[in-house]
Amino acid sequence: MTFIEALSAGFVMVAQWESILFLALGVTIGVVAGAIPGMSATMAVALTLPFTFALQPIFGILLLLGVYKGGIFGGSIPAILIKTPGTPASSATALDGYPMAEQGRAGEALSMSLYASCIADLISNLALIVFAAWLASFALNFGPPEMFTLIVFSLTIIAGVSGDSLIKGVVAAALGLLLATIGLDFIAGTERLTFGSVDMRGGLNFIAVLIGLFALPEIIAYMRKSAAQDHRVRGMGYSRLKLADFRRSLKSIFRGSAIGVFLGAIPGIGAAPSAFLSYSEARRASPNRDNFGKGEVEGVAAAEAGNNGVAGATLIPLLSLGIPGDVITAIIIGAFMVHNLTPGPLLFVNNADLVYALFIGLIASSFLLLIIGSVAIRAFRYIADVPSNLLFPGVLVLCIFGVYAVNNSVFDVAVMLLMGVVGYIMLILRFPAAPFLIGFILGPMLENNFRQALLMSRGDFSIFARGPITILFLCMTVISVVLIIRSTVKAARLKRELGAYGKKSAMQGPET
Amino acid sequence: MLSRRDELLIGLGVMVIGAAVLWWIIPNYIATPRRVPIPALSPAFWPKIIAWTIILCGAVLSVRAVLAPTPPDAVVDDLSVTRPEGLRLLALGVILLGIYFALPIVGMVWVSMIAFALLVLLSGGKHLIWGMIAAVVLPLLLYFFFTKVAGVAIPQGQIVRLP
Amino acid sequence: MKTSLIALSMGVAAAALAAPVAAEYPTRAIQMIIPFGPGGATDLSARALSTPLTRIVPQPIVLTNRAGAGGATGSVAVRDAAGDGYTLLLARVGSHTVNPAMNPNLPYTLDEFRFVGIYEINPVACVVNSNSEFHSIDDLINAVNERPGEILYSSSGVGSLPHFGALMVLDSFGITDLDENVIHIPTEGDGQALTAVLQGTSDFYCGSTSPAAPFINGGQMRPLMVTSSERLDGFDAPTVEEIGKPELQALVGWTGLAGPEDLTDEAAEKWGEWLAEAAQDEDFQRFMTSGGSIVQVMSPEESVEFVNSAYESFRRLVVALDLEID
Repeated sequence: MTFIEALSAGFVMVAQWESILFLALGVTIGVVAGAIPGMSATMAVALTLPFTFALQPIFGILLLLGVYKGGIFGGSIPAILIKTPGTPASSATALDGYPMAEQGRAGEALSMSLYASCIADLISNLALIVFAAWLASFALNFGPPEMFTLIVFSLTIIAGVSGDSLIKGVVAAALGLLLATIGLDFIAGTERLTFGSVDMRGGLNFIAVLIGLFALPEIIAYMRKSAAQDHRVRGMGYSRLKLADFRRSLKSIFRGSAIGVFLGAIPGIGAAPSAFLSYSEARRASPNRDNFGKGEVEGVAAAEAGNNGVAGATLIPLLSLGIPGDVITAIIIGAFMVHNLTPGPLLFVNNADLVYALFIGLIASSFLLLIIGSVAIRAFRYIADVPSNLLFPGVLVLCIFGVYAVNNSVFDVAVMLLMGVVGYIMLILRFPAAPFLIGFILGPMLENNFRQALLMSRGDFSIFARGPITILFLCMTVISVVLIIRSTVKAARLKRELGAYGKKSAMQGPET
Repeated sequence: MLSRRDELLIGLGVMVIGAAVLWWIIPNYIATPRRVPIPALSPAFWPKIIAWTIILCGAVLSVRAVLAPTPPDAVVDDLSVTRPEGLRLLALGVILLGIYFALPIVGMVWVSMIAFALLVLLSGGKHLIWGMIAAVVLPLLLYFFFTKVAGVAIPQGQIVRLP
Repeated sequence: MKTSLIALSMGVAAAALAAPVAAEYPTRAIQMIIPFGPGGATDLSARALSTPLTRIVPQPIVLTNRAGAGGATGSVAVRDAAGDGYTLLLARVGSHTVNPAMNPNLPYTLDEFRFVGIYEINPVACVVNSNSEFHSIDDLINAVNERPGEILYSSSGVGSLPHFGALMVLDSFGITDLDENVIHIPTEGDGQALTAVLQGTSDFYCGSTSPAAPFINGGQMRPLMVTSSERLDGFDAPTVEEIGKPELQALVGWTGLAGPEDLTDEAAEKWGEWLAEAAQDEDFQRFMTSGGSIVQVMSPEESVEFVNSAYESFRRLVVALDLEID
């Protein structure tokens, strides 16, 4: 089959009304499921899978991809409205999205999140179509040493999300890393910090930690003050996104999409590092950087672009090599297998029409997401109008059900409640929560890749400089650290010279 | 912004946590296998690095708190808890503990209803009627969604079972 | 095919609506716990099986993923559940043969479960990258002998089937001091373990055929041997019988249903029948065989005997080679 024939055959497959219907159905299921904490995109895809067995391959796979795309955007809705991110990736969206909702700008944040998602999704899909072969061979060069150096570099984003005190951010990140070591040892299989509990052998569930850390402290803080503070209505979520705001965020959206495509193509990294990296890069480059973390619309745009930029790119290793980049794509492989389709290089030879149909379907999904997403925003933003003293109890109940549902474990609910208390203590002592989370997510990747690399080299540390990729990331890490220290020292000196604590505007970077 | 004394206490507290992890938790709760061919592959290797990082950061925080100029009182946040606030926090703690222990016995739906209602009362009891309606309806909705649509077995407890 | 979907959803709806009249088992939904995450081999196998089961079992079946600690978290949850037949476990070779044999600190033992039936046998294949220098298992063995401590193999974790499988194969070829002579690279699942082979981080992988099948079909990997008694479709490699190591036939993966130790006879009996009937389903069989598995339903007695004999032979080897996790 020539390229044109395959393309037109693919187009015929997608042009059936059922294709669009299943895709739209998938996106709708995904957005709704993503918006319910605990019903993450992963779970929605797993639940939809058995229904695709009876469908034609193209319909089944489009349905699953729709759920995937919808779910990733849907996760930003509760992150913005009630600071309850359903996935680690959407917690970056909560950093600026939730302050905006508190200021009565929920509508603006949601719209920005949708537009950023759709643009990043489209870019990611185009990258998949154009660069799949090239990015796949690049991704294959990422062995454990490369992954380790990449993650070390990613840890420098802690500086970007630490708020006022860099040192406190580092402490929070270290605590997150420590918490991530709980469970069975990766190499020896022995117990680490499980304290004899069977439930802790598997480590702590990160959705439980995440929701406990972000949503619960808000509830506790509200309950403590509630009688004293007037029941301020958070205001309608009808604020509109200004064109000027959108335009100045475009650069961050494109940057975030590129970061997402790059990290998404490497199997096993996932969307969370991408969202945080995009956020921290946007903050570094933005003239409004002091406003980040306090309700900056560009922060929402960057986080969502980084998050969604991964979505199309994770299909690169899946389609071209047959490697699942994350849990969701592992489930999607199942859908291929049921229909006797083998993802991998031969798919492009044997089923080129299907591949092109998927490509066209993916492009269509970005536009469907725009339509369905804007309907969803209209429906969900009424949550912003719910009075606080009903909203917070509702969030607690939602968190209990959601966290339980992830792994059917009451222990996870206990972890969430306990993390809520830890998160509240961190909140009043001014320790930022985001570095803690980054440490918790990156911790296992950091340690496992470090140890795999040393196993490969039999303990020889020179493996961490074995090629151009590792050396590049090591250099980038050194440059980042130098820049962070310089700006920190500069900010501290500036502050001392001004001698005034009230003048926050003088502080350019994080203070030491 | 916290007062100098509070920042100093935080710095010292962080050091204590790091020290406890390094000299008490790691030796007692991390099992090291008989043979570890490469020291860097020991299960305790990363936790030790992390613990040292925490101790070091705690020291920096403490030194900085001592050296930094005293912030004017106007911008210092008070960490003290007033009596009604403390009582409400205590009540909230009891509710959270109650949720955990009652879950397997009473079932998630009923526990959620009670917790919702108690939190509405605890936060001043405004919009009381709507609050009570929501307290009943929301857990039921979530229950039917998760069990019937998502196929998750929500814990039912041993007293009253829902269909 | 569409009718089956409609029948399935109608079945679920009817079962949910109609209140049970008879008091006999089952009177409410049955929870089947999968001790591994969604998308893994056990999960896909369980979801494929649940489709025909939903039509046969009079009550809804709720599939629940309880992943963690190599299957231990989910297994313990079922062990501690009531034996009324409303909580069952998808037991797998990793959680119920390899891990018990290798890990003395496991929080459960095989005796604490009552097996209802094994329904799937999954042969093991040793695979290498298709541009690897190894063209036969002998090449691999020679390389290990010539360059001790340089050949790497990947697995889905400590105490998993691929971890043990590689050691068992090498041992049968007379390689000693396995700790020193080959290097184990654990990863977080079969997908990652195979990715390591694909990108050259690891030299070979000896695990279930199903996760390796796509890479073999795609020409990215080459099988060196399979542990089935006959040659497998799509796997162009000699069987262990052909290479003169018939004892390696004990090295197979399996999936089955189990309940807590005190599972009632009534429930066990019913499930035996349902399982046998569900395994006849054509869609199910097609799905399983496409991944290189063999659908084979064993009676409870056969299942117990099968699991125990596999455990015994693995355990002997673990003790003899000092492979225990401490």
